[in-house]
Formats: sequence, C-alpha cells, structure tokens
Amino acid sequence: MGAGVQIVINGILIGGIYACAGLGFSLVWGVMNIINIFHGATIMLGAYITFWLFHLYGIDPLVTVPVSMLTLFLIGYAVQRILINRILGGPLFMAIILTQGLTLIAVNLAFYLWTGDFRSIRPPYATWSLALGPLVVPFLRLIIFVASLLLTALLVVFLGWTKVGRAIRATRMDRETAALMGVEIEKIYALTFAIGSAIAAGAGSLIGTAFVVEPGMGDSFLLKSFVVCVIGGLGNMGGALVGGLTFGLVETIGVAVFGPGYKDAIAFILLVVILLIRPEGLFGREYYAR
Amino acid sequence: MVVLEGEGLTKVFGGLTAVSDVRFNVHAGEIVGLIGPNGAGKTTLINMISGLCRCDRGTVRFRGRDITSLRPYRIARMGLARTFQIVRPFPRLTVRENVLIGALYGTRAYRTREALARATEVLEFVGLADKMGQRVADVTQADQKRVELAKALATEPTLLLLDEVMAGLNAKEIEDVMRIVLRIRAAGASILMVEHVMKAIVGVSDRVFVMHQGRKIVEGRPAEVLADDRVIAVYLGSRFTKR
Amino acid sequence: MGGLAGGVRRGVTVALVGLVGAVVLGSALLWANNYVLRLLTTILMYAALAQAWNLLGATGYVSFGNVAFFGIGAYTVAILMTRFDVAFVAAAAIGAFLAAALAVAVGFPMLRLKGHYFAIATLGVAEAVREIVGNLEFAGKGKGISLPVMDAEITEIYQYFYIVMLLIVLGALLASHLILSGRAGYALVAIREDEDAAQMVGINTTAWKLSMFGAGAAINGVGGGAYAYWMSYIDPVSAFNFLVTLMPLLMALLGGVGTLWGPLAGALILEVLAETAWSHFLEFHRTVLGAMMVLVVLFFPGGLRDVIHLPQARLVGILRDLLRRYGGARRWWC
Ligand SMILES: Nc1ncnc2c1ncn2[C@@H]1O[C@H](COP(=O)(O)OP(=O)(O)OP(=O)(O)O)[C@@H](O)[C@H]1O
Ligand SMILES: [Mg+2]
Repeated sequence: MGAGVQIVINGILIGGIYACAGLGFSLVWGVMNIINIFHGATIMLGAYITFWLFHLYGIDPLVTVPVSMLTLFLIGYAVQRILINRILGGPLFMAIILTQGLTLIAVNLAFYLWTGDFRSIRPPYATWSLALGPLVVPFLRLIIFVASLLLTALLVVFLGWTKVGRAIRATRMDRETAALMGVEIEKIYALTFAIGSAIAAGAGSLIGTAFVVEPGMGDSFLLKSFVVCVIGGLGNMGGALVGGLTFGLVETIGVAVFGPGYKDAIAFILLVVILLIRPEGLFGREYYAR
Repeated sequence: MVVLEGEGLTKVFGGLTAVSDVRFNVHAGEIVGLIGPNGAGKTTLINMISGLCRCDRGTVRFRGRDITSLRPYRIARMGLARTFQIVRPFPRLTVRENVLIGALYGTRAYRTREALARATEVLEFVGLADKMGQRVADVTQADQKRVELAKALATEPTLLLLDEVMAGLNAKEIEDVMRIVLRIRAAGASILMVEHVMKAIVGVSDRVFVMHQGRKIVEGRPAEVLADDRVIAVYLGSRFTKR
Repeated sequence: MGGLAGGVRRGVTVALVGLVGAVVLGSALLWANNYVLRLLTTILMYAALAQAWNLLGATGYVSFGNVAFFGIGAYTVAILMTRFDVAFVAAAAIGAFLAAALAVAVGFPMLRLKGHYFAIATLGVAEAVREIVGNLEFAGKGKGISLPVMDAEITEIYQYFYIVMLLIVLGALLASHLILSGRAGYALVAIREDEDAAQMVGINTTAWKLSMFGAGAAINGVGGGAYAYWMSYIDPVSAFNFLVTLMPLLMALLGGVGTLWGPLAGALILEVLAETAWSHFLEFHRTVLGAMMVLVVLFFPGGLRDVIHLPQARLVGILRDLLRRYGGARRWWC
C-alpha cells in the first residue's frame, strides 16, 4: 500500500516535468502545424546552460531557468524567422526534416564541445527530502514539480491575458482571419516558436537538475513530449498538463512493473493504445470532412 | 423501389446534435433535393451516408443492404458516389487522371486502357473534354466542380450524392449542371442533391426535404415545400410568415 | 499519360538505363578494388532502403521508423545464424517476413493517423523496438551478437556482399516498377493527394498503405539481414542507428518521392557526399549531414527535379531571388 502511494507520488512529480516539456511542443504544433524535432535539442541546450552556470559559477539551478529560457527564446526566434518561415505551406514533413537537420548539427556540436560524458547537477539541497510517515518526497523533485507548474501557469496567463497571447490564439484558430484582423502572421509564428523554445529550455533546465545531462538526452524527451501532446490534444495547454501527469503516472507504474529498461517502450505502447481508441487524441476534436 | 433509406440517423459532435433522428428515402430514378439553412446538418448527413463519419444512431440501407458501418471505399464500390461541397480533387494530377482513378477503382471491372476510354467518355459527358490534359489545380473553380462530378460519375454509381455542386457558379453554368444532372438521371441513376440554389432545386427535383438544426422538418413536392410556412420561417425568420 | 507510344518510349529508356547500369555495376567485380567495392555495396544498400521508404512515401506518408525493420532483419539473421545454424539466405527471408509482420501489426493502428501523427508514431516504434531488443537476453542485450565470418578470401567476401546487395536492389527495383507504374501507382498517388477523396472513389486506402508499409519493411528486413552478415557483428546501436532511417528518407526526397529512379539517384549522390564528409570531417560528419538536410529543404524541396529541370534562365532567376532574399541582412529580422 505504502509502496503504491509512493509510486503515485513519484509519477505525479515526474509528470509535472513532462507536462512542461510537452507544453512547448504542443504550442508550436498547435499554432503552426509543425512537428518541431529541434524541441529535443532545445531541452538539451537548456539543460547544458544550467549545468555550466551551476558547475562553473555555482549559480543555483533554479536561478538559471530564466537565463536558459531567454537564450533559447532568441535562438528559437531566429530559427523560425530565418529558416522555418520560408518553408511553411510546403509538404508537412519539410519542417520535420529541417528541424531534424538542425538537431543533428546541435547534438554534434554539443558532443564536440562538451563531450558525451554524463553530467549531473547536484545543488546542496539535492539530498533533502520530506518524510510523511513511510512516504518520501524528494525535496528537489518537489521543487521542480512546483517550478514546472509555475511555468505552465505563466504560459497560460500569457496566452490568455496579453495582446500577443491573444494574437497567437487567434492565429491558431484561423490563420487567414487573424491575418485580416491585422495580425502579422510571420512575426506571430516567430514569437510562438520562440515561446515554445523558451518553455522547452526551462523544462530542460529542470530536467537537467533531475536527470543526467548529455548531448543525446533530447531524443527520449521528444518522444515523451509527443505522447503528452497526443494525450492532451494539440495546442491545448490544460490538456498538456493532464497529459503530462497521466504519462508520468503510467510510466512510473510501468517501470515499477516491467523494470527500468522499458521506459520508452512504455511511452510508445501508451501512445498506440490511445491512438487506437481515439485517432484524434484523447482530447482532440473529431475530424471534420466537408 | 427504394434505393437508399435512412432511419433514425443521429450524429452528435460534443454538445451539438448535428443530425437528429432523420428518416428519409430515395426511390429508383428519383432526384431528391435536400435543403436547409447553413449548419442544418446536410453535409453531415451526406458524410454519414457515404461512410466518412460514424453514425451515433440509426441505419442506412442501400439497395436493401445495411451499409451503416461499412468503410467508405466499400460503399463507393457498391455504386454510391458523392461529391464534396468544398471540392476535393487530386490537385496535382490532370483532369483525365482524376477521372481515370474513379473509373479504375470505383468499378472493379476496368483495366487501365478501358478505364482511360471510360474516363474520356465521362469527361465528354460533363463537357470537360478540351481540358483533359490540364492539372486540376490549374483549371477554374467551376471546372473543378465538374471534375468532382466526373470523378464520381466515373465510378458508375446507381446513386449519386451531390453536395452543393452549383454553389459559386454563374447562371449559365448552373443551367449546364442542371442539364447534366437530368441526363445522369436519364441514364438510370438516382440522385440526392444538397443545394442552396432554389431555382435548381425546383427545376430538377421530384421531391424535396428540408433540414433545420439537425432535424428533417418538411418533405414534399418542391413547389409545396418552398411555400410552406415552416420553411419560410427557418430561412427568413418567423416575421415573414403569414400569421 | 502519353498512351501506348509514350509507354514504349519509356520502356526503351528504362531498358537502356538498366543496360548501362547493369554493365557498369556488373563489371565492377572486375575493376573495383576493395575500397570502391565497399563503397558501392553501401550505396546499393542505401539504394534498396531508399526504395523501400519510397513505397509508402508515394502515398505521402512519411515514416521515421524504418530502422526498426532494418534492425529486426539484422537481429533475426544474427540469431538464426549463430544459434540455429540457419543458412544466410533462409535467415534473411525469415527476417524480411518478421519485419513485414511487425510493420503490419503496428501499421494497422498507426496508419489511421494523418500526417504528423503518423511520422512521429513511427519514430516511437523505432525507439521502442530498439529498447526491447536491447533488453532481450537471447539477443545479447547491449553487448550485441557476433556472426559467423564467411570462410573465404577477403576480396571474395567483398564481392559476395556486393552481389547480395545488388540482387536486393534489383528485387526492390522490380517491385517498385510493378507497383509505381501500374494501376497501383494511381491508388498511391490518389492517397497522397487526398485520402478521403480516394476512399470515395473506391480505393481501399488502409490496405494500400498497409501493404506498402509492409513491403517497405520486408526490404528493410532483408537489407538489415545482409548488413548484419556483412558486418559480422551487430549491437542495438548499429542495428538501430537512426541514420539508417534518415539517410534513405533524404535520398528519396532528394531523388524525388514516388518516382522509380529517384531513390537510386539520391542514394548515389548522398552516399558519395556522406562518404566524403566521413573522410574529411570525421568529427563533424553529422553536422555536415544536418547542413545538407537544411539546404535540401530550403533550396531543392522538389528534389533533383528542381536541379535537373532548371533551364539556365530559371537558374539565374533563382540566384537573383537568393541575392534579393539574403543580400540585405535587414530583411532577416523584421
Ligand atoms: N467534425 C465536427 N466537429 C464539430 N462540429 C461539427 C463537425 N462537423 C459538423 N459540425 C457542425 O455540425 C453542424 C452541421 O454542419 P453541416 O456542415 O452538416 O451543415 P450544412 O447543413 O452542410 O451547412 P452548409 O449549408 O453551411 O454547408 C454545424 O453546426 C457544424 O459546425
Ligand atoms: Mg454543407
């Protein structure tokens, strides 16, 4: 019983990070209909920024979150503005190949500059934990969970209450109409991509604090983000939160049952099961044929 | 003889009941008009009949067979063809290739060469013979509507569902299409036709039924239906009806 | 289109190209040294994989998980040959069958997904299969499997695998020809253009997509099996290398998706480029590859056709356009 509750707690705590990672991916996909493979590399870069700031200057990982967010906001803006905006409207998978190419470059350079060593970020409070009877809540995980929720909330507030946020949502609903209403689509796209990248980088910083940091770490988070997004529905912020928590739980329980070697397999099987039941995603809308 | 028959057809999207308990039929050799204001559920009904969207309740019978849960391609091969309201041709293929594909796969009988001949025949029938070699994406909207029609015809349907094939056409083009529709019927097919162009509905259909907010509200001969208070009410608001 | 005469003319062209290709490739056994033979064998392997990808690619579905089937083939051959003494050819056939079976099994739910959903779900398949195989005791876990090495002179071994890959490519070419240029080709193109509309004219889209996915997987399985025997050692990293998904996809894209010869041309060009990248920028070869992807997408999204069918006038036009676009840095930012 106690072990079961512990697993649920762990699952929820992990789920917060997954939600946060999935959020940026979902935003970009939902608004621009782009699968951003570079999302994984963005998470990796965010994690490295936190690692180096912590390792070289001893800056607290949580303090570095805004730094990595801002850095990747700028990178994301440039990538969309200079590259991706040029190929919108072409076949869907062009953007996949483009962002895959960028990922190869980024991962290769990270490997060259920082080697393939597994690094970890261990702030002084990494070993603290809260004990509630037989249950243990690692302090660090809790902090990360709360930070993830804050980031999520920040994005929701931004999209809901700011002018740019509204423009982004309008573009998502109907690009042509938004353009007619005076929204500058290209700029909004670049901003959306930049915001998606910033959120992913923030998630990356938190992920780096909880997991190992290495150049190839983005791959598995890319897959996870996708699963979260499918569970939660495209571009649906609240859905991403539900998706992240659900996925965190399923994965933690799956690992408890089948062993840690099957993490990604569990993600995939969950994905297929969901898609079997609802091809348009759990919270997605039914397909509308005219 | 009844060719197509729907009973208790219902489709719910989230909280919206797009089609609600609709019952209708189409007899052999008949042209039935389906009208109703925007959002009445006409296209949804067509989608349900042609298998593109699941029915939540109700059954569709085509030539005596229950086709409710059949996959769309099976329904198409049984001889039930449709057009899309927003045309959906194969844009990067030529006009003739579009129709050829209909002939190749809609009927199991054709080999490529026979299908080509058949495609040419259909294109002549709808008056597109001179545009055969052009890419569909390059022809006018009005011609794309004809390609859509020709594609459906090439499958040799016994029943044709037309979803607003005349929308956006000018008066002359509408008359052309009306003539084509009558000739299709003369060739032996039955037709269920969704249309907003009342002149066309009155001109060609034998019987009309009206949908409003997912329900079938009136059915009868075209002239009677258009004069019906309930129909005027849903189109123009109740202010215009006789008290 | 062009009717009978066009068909004959095309037939003659195909026969001519085939003849020249056969002479060059056949005579390679006489003139090529081991290095060239190895390069040619690699090109042939990728040519087969690119053709395999192209079958489903013709329907507009983009698979990012082909390496799953390649790996299944590789592992099947490795396990059957080491543990059960099965002959290579039989083992490769079984590998192809298993790969196709897996493709049909996962394809059935996944091919209902449209566009992006499908692409990334296949990515998941590859990840999951790699992980599962890497955990299996009888597949050597992470340590991999060493296959029996052929008892022959080194040059003979090179020649053997060259011929094996050549046969696989010919098989794939024949299959692609039968599929793409016949009645079936129209079904695939129709699916690519508009899947709902294709169903509405009686095309069983699911069956077509599944069989193309399965056929592509079978070719991948054979290719993977041959690769395993050729390398005589495989582990999860080499058998499920993501580049084996990526390169064929790029090759087909560069050569022209849905065409018969495109994937072959793409394989030739990209593999020669990749080999150059390997030998000149060992550490950065992935960067070079990534840059190639970005450039292809930005400048030749239509593949080689964009390059070949460019009359000079258009080339000048494009250069002018590039200058206009990229000449002034200001336009990049605002
Ligand atoms: N997939 C869907 N998801 C949600 N709502 C839908 C879907 N398809 C249709 N609807 C809704 O169902 C209602 C009926 O739509 P439908 O397209 O059938 O109307 P229609 O009678 O064809 O109208 P029109 O004359 O404008 O073509 C509309 O309110 C529409 O918004
Ligand atoms: Mg409609």
